[in-house]
Amino acid sequence: MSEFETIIGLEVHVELLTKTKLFCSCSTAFGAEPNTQVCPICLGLPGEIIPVLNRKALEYAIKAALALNCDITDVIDFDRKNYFYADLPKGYQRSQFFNPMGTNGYVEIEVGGSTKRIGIKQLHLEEDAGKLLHTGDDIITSPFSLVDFNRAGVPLIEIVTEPDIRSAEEARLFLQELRNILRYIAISDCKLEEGSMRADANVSLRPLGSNKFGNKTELKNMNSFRSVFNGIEYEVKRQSKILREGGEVLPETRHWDEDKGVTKGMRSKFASADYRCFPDANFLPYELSTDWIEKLKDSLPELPLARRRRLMDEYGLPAYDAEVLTSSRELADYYDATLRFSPAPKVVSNWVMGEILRLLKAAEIEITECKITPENLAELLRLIEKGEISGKIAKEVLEEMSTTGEKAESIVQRKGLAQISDEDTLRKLAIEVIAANPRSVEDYRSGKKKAIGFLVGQIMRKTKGKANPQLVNKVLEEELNK
Amino acid sequence: MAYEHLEELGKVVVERCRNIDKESGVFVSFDADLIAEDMKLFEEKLEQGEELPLAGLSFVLADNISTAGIRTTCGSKMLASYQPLFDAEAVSRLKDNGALLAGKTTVDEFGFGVSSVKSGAAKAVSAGAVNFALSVDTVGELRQAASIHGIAAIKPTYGRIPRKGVVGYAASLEVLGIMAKKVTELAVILKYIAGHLPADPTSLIGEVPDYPSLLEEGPAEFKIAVPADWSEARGIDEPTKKIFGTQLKLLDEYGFRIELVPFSYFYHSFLVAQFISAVEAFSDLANYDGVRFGYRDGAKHLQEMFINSRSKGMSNRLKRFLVFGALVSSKKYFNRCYLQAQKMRTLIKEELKTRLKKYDFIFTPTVPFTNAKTHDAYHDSLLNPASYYTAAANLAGLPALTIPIAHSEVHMPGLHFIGSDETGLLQAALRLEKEYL
Amino acid sequence: MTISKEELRRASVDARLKLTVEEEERLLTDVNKIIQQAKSLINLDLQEVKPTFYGSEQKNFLREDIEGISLKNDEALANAPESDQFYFRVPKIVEE
Ligand SMILES: [Zn+2]
Repeated sequence: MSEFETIIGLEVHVELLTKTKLFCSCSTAFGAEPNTQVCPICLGLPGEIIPVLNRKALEYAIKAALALNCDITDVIDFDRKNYFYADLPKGYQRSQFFNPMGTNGYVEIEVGGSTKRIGIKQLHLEEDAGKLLHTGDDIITSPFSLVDFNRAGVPLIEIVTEPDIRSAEEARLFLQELRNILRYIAISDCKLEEGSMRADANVSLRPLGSNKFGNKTELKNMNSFRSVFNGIEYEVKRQSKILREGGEVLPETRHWDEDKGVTKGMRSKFASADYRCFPDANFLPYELSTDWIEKLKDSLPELPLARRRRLMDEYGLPAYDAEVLTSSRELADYYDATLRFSPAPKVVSNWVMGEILRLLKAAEIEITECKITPENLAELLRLIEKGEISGKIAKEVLEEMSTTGEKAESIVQRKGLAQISDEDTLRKLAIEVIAANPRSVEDYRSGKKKAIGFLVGQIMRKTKGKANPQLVNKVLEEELNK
Repeated sequence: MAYEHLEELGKVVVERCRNIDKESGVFVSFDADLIAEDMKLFEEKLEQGEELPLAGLSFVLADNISTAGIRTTCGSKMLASYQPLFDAEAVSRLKDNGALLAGKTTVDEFGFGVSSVKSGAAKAVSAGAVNFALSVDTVGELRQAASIHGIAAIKPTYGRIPRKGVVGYAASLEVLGIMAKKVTELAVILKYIAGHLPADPTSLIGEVPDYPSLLEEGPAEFKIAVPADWSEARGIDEPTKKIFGTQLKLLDEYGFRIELVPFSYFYHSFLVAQFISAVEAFSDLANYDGVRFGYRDGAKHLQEMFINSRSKGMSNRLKRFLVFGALVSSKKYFNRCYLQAQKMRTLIKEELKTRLKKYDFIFTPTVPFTNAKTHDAYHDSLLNPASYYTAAANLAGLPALTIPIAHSEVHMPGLHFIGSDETGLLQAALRLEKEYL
Repeated sequence: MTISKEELRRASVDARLKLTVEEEERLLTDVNKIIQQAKSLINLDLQEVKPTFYGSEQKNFLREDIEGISLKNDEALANAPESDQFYFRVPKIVEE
């Protein structure tokens, strides 16, 4: 047990899935040639200063704030955060400093079997900066840098947590849950690797039992859930070593170096601690109507946590199943849709978590692209239930369904895969098999009951696996015991 | 208008512009060929039956108003070779209606402050080279320049004319304004360039009155409030006291009922505006960083490039102003200076609006000194009281107007009035103009 | 309330502006004179007064999320002091 308590707060930036930028009508599409999705406004050209707010971006920010249980501001205005950097066209970033979109919210995560609430201090809407490219090996040796402003002005929300997170694992769980929520409400694709979700962590330590915060460092450049976890773990170890040796943690920004697995201090004598935030007079305040907020509230889908709980309460699913099935809204929708045609929640859960996910992974597609409709899946399961096909055959049928989209029944018929449940036919086969395998029959009759397995296998081979296994067992036993 | 002769008229404009430019250096950009081309184009359009209500009128633009493909220097080394991609909205509207852009005129760097030397737009109008000029008014620069050069000018309500393409320095204060010799011309031009632009939500929504047709209307008498302590203005000189004092007695004859009215906050408006405009300028001019356009100076690294480019691209006067803005918005002084000034602004605005409920206009001199030399002497200093009477209208977003007072002395200081709307101001100005001429 | 030279220097760095020694002296004098002039205002109790940050009281509106016309790359780079193919070019970021 460590003698320190870890205090973590996260600042998460999420790019919104709008077609155009926050204040101008330039495209936000990914992958265009550099500096082709720019205009006088997002380039900050002289005299081209006046922003017009994107309705969709505002709607998405409100939805996010509602989904994170925040109180919503009644007036939208933007403040200028003033600083100089090559990727910042105007010398200031427009952000909601004084009146954030949402305040005082929370996200619940499951830690060690119990629910923990992580406070959301605020959620605000702001504009992204451009992108810097460094020639040469890295930022340090690069003789100059190149700037692409296509991303400048893309709408972002920044989510700032309270310092409620106590470990790297909790940070990871929080981020996963947050990503899940934001994907459920379809406002961002939240891809850490591509930068549409970026997390910075404020990390500090304090002696156990103390209620004062120690000096914190701000960790940046963590581009995956794993690097968030590793970066924080490293930083916690680094800080505790300093503290144990009686040193003092320098409050600074540190970059996580994924390759070397260390955090590095990034110092600049020009890093400003004073952004002089003040309202942008070029953006007159916009009054949010409570009607709109109510409408958006009503439009929110069931969120992951509620959905998990419902799957457990309503269908009696184990926590693990509920977790997997709700890991995306689309998958959960698929599960729910299948249950409209099937009375067996756990059976459906097993098949969705097992075969369906396996098929998706093999084909590298999303559940929404899956050709097996919920109705057809339910029908397949019904065929098994009725004994018309075996589970083994069903997997074959499902594979076929996934490529053709055909109904289970028609595949079964077309390919003659229906289970042979006709007792006379099976009895005939049993008699043939008994006659052809005297040794196994001998073994069985002398007490080696397991020998029946071989005979069952023989019948299965003759029927290409279509024989009803229970019935085969039954008639074999009857014939052998005659 | 005899628009059959637009091409000849173009030649006259060229001739007059060349003369005034030779005399006192008015133009930053002037292209006689372009003038000829434009006039030819207008004539063609007219022949095709297009309506060009402003055909035959010519204008200049202060060089901080964007013109597509024509250098827009803002009077700064920072933008010495900058070529905008688009015309300012007001410029498009003028061109679409047939007004001729004669050239771009000198302006104090980024339109901050006004010196007699660099007020090229006012000089061109005053010399009769063109009919009117557009210029930016942030704390009163437009009106002060008009006053120095003995012409009329209107600073409309905040947002009356879209700001798209106007390179300003203080977003919450700046408006585009018009200078002309005649009140009628102000009214005509305002009619064509005022009005909402969807790309500029700060531009005023609502119908634009037909100012010229309303000019002769209005009440028989106007009720005027004059700030009781007007003569205590910082920097006020004796001629101003004398001339304005005399006017107050005369105005009654012309149907202006004058009352000296106490004001509490008005007198602080220029100081308040100075704090606010400096903070906004610190931020509004932060895009001049040498990355995407404008002057760049060599440097070892990015941050040094910012410093070198900005420090060499801007004048000492402007730099002092911007550092002042950075200073009074810094953490330590943010609440005490910047925020306090924005609160004072509320009080000033409320005071003006309260007075304007009871009175039609607030009259003052336009500047506290009649002499252009005094103006220039103050120009380089941050302790410049030139905006003493003008800044309040910008703080409150109210329209204001200056017209020259006719009298026998050499300098013709302006009479300044703040009102509730442009129509009223223009009506009163026209009435005074008739008396003065 | 007096502004120090150190505060003034910090502000000029934040504004990325370098003043000469004389200009710095001049500004320091002027700034403190202005503060002196504004003293009565700075000391007013305005706790109950709301600040006015805007030029008008008009309410804002929103635009729809519909793509418009952007600049072409050569237009975007037309006024750039330094460019490199599709990019704006700047000196290296790291300070030495
Ligand atoms: Zn744009």
